[in-house]
Amino acid sequence: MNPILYLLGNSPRVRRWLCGSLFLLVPFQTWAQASVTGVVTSEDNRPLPGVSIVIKGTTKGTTSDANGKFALSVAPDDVLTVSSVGYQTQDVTVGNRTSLDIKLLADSRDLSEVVVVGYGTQRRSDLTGAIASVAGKEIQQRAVVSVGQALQGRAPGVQVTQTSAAPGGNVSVRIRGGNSIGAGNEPLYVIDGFPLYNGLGNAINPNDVESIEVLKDASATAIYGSRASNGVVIVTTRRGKSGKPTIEFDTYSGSQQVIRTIPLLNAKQQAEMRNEALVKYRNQAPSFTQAQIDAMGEGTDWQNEVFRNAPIQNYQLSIAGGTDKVRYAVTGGHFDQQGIVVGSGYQRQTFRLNLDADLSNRLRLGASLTLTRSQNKGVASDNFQNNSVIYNTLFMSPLTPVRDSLGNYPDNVLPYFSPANLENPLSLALNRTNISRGLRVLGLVYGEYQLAEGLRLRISAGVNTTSDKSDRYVPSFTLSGRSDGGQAFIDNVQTFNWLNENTLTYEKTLGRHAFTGLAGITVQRERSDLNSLSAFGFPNDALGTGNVGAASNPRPPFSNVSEWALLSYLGRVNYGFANKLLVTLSARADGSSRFGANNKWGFFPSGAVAYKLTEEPFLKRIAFVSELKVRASYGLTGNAEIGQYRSLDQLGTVRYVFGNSAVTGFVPVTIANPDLRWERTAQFDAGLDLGVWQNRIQVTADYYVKTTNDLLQNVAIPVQSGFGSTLINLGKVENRGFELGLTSRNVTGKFTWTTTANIAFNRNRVLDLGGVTEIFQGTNGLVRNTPSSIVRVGQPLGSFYGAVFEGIWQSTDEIARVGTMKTNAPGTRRFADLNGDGTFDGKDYTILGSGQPNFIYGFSNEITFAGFDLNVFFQGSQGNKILNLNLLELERGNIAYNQSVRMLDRWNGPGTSNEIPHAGALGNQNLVHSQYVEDGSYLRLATASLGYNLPLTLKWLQSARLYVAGDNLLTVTKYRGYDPEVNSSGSSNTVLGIDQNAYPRAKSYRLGLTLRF
Amino acid sequence: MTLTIKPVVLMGLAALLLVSCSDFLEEQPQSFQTAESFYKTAADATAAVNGLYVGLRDAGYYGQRVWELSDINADQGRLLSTNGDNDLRELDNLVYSPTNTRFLAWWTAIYTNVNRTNSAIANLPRVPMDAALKARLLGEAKFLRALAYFDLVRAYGDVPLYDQPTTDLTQISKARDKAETVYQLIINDLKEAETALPWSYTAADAGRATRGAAKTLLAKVYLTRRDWANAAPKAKEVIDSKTYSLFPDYADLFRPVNKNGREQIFSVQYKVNEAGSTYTAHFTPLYVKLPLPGTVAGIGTFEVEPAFYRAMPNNYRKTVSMDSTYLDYRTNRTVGFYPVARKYLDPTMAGQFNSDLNWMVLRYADVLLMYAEALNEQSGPTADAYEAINQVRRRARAVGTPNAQPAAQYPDLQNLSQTAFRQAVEDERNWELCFEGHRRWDLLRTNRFIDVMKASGKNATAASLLFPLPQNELLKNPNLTQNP
Repeated sequence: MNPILYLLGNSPRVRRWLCGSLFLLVPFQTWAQASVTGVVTSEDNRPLPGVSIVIKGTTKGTTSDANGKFALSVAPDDVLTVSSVGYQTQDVTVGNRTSLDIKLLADSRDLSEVVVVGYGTQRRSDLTGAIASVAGKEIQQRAVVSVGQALQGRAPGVQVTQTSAAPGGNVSVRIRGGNSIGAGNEPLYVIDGFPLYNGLGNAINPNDVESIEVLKDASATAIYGSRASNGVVIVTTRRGKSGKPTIEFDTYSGSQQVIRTIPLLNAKQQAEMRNEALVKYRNQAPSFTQAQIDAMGEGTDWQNEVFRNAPIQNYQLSIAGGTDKVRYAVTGGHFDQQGIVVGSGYQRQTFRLNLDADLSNRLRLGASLTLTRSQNKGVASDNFQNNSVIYNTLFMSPLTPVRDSLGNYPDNVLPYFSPANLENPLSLALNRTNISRGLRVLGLVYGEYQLAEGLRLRISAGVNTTSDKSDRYVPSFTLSGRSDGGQAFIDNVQTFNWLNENTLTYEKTLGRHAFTGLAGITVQRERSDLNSLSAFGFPNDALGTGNVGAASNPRPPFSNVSEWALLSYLGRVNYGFANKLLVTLSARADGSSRFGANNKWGFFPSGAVAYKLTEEPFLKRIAFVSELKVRASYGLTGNAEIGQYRSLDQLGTVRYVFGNSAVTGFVPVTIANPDLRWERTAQFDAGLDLGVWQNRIQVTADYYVKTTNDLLQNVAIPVQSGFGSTLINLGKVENRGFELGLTSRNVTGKFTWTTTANIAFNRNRVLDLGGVTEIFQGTNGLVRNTPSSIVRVGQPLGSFYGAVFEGIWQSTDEIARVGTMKTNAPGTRRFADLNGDGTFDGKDYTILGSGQPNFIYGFSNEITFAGFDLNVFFQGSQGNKILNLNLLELERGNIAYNQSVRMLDRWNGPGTSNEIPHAGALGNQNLVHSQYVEDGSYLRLATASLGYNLPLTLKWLQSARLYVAGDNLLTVTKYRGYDPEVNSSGSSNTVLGIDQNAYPRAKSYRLGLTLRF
Repeated sequence: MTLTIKPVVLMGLAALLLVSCSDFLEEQPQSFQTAESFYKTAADATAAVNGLYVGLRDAGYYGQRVWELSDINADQGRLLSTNGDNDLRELDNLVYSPTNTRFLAWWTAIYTNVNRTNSAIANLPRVPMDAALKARLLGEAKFLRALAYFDLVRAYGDVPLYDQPTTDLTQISKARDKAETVYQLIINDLKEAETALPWSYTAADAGRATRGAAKTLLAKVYLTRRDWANAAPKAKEVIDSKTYSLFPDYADLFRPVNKNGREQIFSVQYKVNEAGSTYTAHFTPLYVKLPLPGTVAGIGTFEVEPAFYRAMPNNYRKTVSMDSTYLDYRTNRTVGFYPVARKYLDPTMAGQFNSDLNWMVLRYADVLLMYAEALNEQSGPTADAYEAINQVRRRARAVGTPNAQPAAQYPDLQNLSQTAFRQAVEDERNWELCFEGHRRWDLLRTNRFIDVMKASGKNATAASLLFPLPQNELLKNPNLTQNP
């Protein structure tokens, strides 16, 4: 810097004056200018195209060409700022040189890295809380539709389970275990400053993501108050940088297949089993003659008919750049995934604009806008029903032809108990209409003004508005639509959510003391409108939901409006002493419309302290330790995900008939609870950050204990009160665990090899249910309201509950001698009389394991060499159990439906099998029992990709990368279902690991291309 | 300078948004009302009472359990051996498990209605409205509360008695009150209802509880309590009102077009396509085609006990009630493996679970037979008693219709001993009111349940006289005790 300017000091007035006077200086300086040329390369000496080279303090600059070369007129005392995405920015003094060789270092997580925290940013090295960062680069490696899916296996302590593997299917995310029984367990998402709990869905294109921060401990999350108990996921999208526009086109295209199929009986085997059951066990005539059986062959392989090779493709175009005053990033994307089940598929178009403008050196304005349009063609799956495509695919008899003589899809041909009640799965998938269309606008504008040195005011306002419509039509010629002459259903949901946030940030350093203070007021409100229409009885199936007016039997319409509001005051102080001791205190007060009248406001404080041992002389002497920090935090957070109006004594609307005309009535449906409030989670966290050899190896470790009190529970009460349950705050759940994250740059230079790995152990335990010791969960519709799961004090959530399988009864003698199941016949399952009262019954049920894993982990290796890059990412879960309800039903000797091939090893006389019952056994074979609580551990090669950067010398094209990739290529597991990553009960926290008609997961192979202009 | 002003303006705007923060956090529901915003007008009061009828349709109550707990749990109905419904099979076999979901369903549905009626009875008095309408609405609520408690006390014996709505959690775990106390509330409610309610309504209100309904139910309550002296005159009040008479054709009783007609006293209301009933599907066996296009069959949750079919005298009424053959939808052939119920076959149905049939809770034939029973118990078979039962018998042979059968087919009764007349009333009720949810309660009332069940080959004991309280409820409310 010019010494005169330096002497004049830094006052704003002087600076403004100088801005003007600079123009006067320019002519005098030109004579001194000379031309400099140079080349920018990476550490491994690859030329770097598109690098921005700007003379510091000016707008003058250029970018490097395809060979990394550039030329620029400079003065000898100019300093060049050299920057490029993914590399550390460097300042180069020109001096007397006319040619420069600039080597850019890859932007690894060095000490100066900045991470996004709640309502601000912080240097990573100054963090006191437990925050995991995931770079956009990692997010974009997998072919996934949502940011939630992309997070899987990437951050310690973040468990991601896809609740449906159908295209566009949802994920459920648990950060450090689930806290709640009756309220939501998903984290709060903050998209570029806009907090959203539910319904983020697939709105954010993973390709737009710059970074994701996962806030885990109370120090990091308490600033989000009553919505922070389940952790916070901050998603930051890509913004423009000053410099020439960069145009990037990215595409991939691939094919998906079902990972595995379940071996089932063929036509001949099923017919033989049916005959055996009828003749041997029911004294009835056989259904088929031997000649008929001999002529049968394989019959229909329904899995082969229903599953297909399905294409997947993605296109993305982005343009980013800016001047030093205005920066922009515009992206558009198109994603199209067909499902591996015929008739299913998902399409999404996204548009994003991020804009930042420095209106003066004090005022910055900016905006983020996302438009998302999606279309989801669904098929019924993932729950128990006879109309699930997956259920019908598994159970449809192979004796049924795919099409009948008229070309229609026939229903199951083996009726037994009742008329043909199994609809052809192809009819379900192809004849029915089931389409959801959605449009979302998520926009936020902000203004940031520097009021004084170190004091900044930020005001933002945003909206999130969604419009979703789902159309379902069941044609009159199908089994389910027949009795009503076709059924049409239309649902329309519109939500409008607005946000205003006002924060003041003050930064001040006084000698060795550094302060940052934050204070804010925020308001958020949402209104959601639902309208439903349905109509039965159509003259034909031509129009369906397009014209419900054509139906002879319109059903009563339905509408619902629901609103919530949140008003919050928040504050945070960061204090640093000598860059050694770091203290953070934060608090938020939340007023929520959802809470009862007596408890409208909740207060959520937190505190944390960190100590950088590396700054101490005794550690400075140990050269290989580049970073060592210990952290501890404690704080309170809340969970307000209880839905709206739950504290009020609601009257429900009902309809009745008088005088053969409909009348409306009102009935009480809930008991008022003016004391209703948030769940309260207290969390302690102790952590350690270690970096060695100039942070070549970085380790982060955390231990935490989380206790959630005042669980929001819909507690069953005596129905003599007129109500089956009421919502109250009762009970306690604990999660404690250990997390470890590791990054290691094993080899640097021309050949690079980087490993990242993480592992997390969480132990979840119910401490108190408020008087009762257990609550049953999840009836699966099989028998006598048998619950599949139990919440019991002292046990983890998601525990399976059922009988203990002891083999097969071999003889009437054995049945009589043991005497615990006297009414059973030989060849049926034997269950343990655990309480020893001489009879097997419901009192002998016990906990059969938990759907929660002992640990989850992920590790990835990236290798680059001579233009090639290889990335291999594994992810897994260990020790979790799965209740395989599909197999339970496929191995119970049902002779009306198809069964598993294991029925070939069925019991057929004493000593023939101790695993599989006799043909036609049915009966009590269908209760939840230990034989089908299977080990759900798995290790998965989630993604592997191999890319090559084409060596280019083109003016118009900076780089081109071609890659092949595969997703879910390899899964190591003992689990016998379609896939061990399964959770048919959606995002429930108490019913975990149930596999019931889940949409099977796909593996995919992709070919991709990234071009940069 | 402008740049320094703008943030101040913006902050001011932000502050404006927060001005009315107490309103901001108050929930103002737009899709439902709360007790606070409701009970303001006559229309509100009417809507509150309309809501009390809806619970009658619950599957736990008159929607389905009514015939399972009464008629299958006796000797009129059964279920096929292939039916996997264990709870229903236990009822059929008189095996009473406290975990049987049928007992829980009955308890739940009725107590839900009890609380709803209590809520209306507690809140209606403060509504500013026409006094006469208010009195009538309160009468309807009291009739429905009495009906609910009567159905509870007959099923379980002593039950917790609530006469106030539940508004907080302080009273939710009451212990059982004596059946006698419950009966006092029932009788008081019905006495109030019989004066408050009109004999009839305009066509638009047909289906509401009437004075006749209150008197009929009160007669039944007296009869159940073996209070013949009150039962007979109460039944006679209904007869003498000349409000009701028998349809000459038994089949007319079940025709949707005759809903709320001359014979029906109180029915649960349904309307095809608006709120269709499921009775046709339930009473039509599997494989038996329903009167619908295509091949839609019944679901057969009720099958006729063959012995019941055989025992029923051959007359016109039997042909309306049951059939010995049926149309198999698979083969489109008429076959006759077992008898099937015909009463609830609605030819106007529009879907498998979309019939136009009401469920008759109280009807005039019931009144006549109760009157005959009470008179006989009081003073033996009087002429009035004979006339009452013979009216029902004459209608059974379709006297006065083109289907009329000669008297010899089903002769009038005469010259019977008190005991023989008692048996005749029992039989007549069995046949006239079959599949309508009366059988178990009739036999309990006359202390005949155990004998009759044993005679039909079922294992009845003293424990069969009351249902067990649902296990679920005992777990939730430690103050409840189980029946022996």
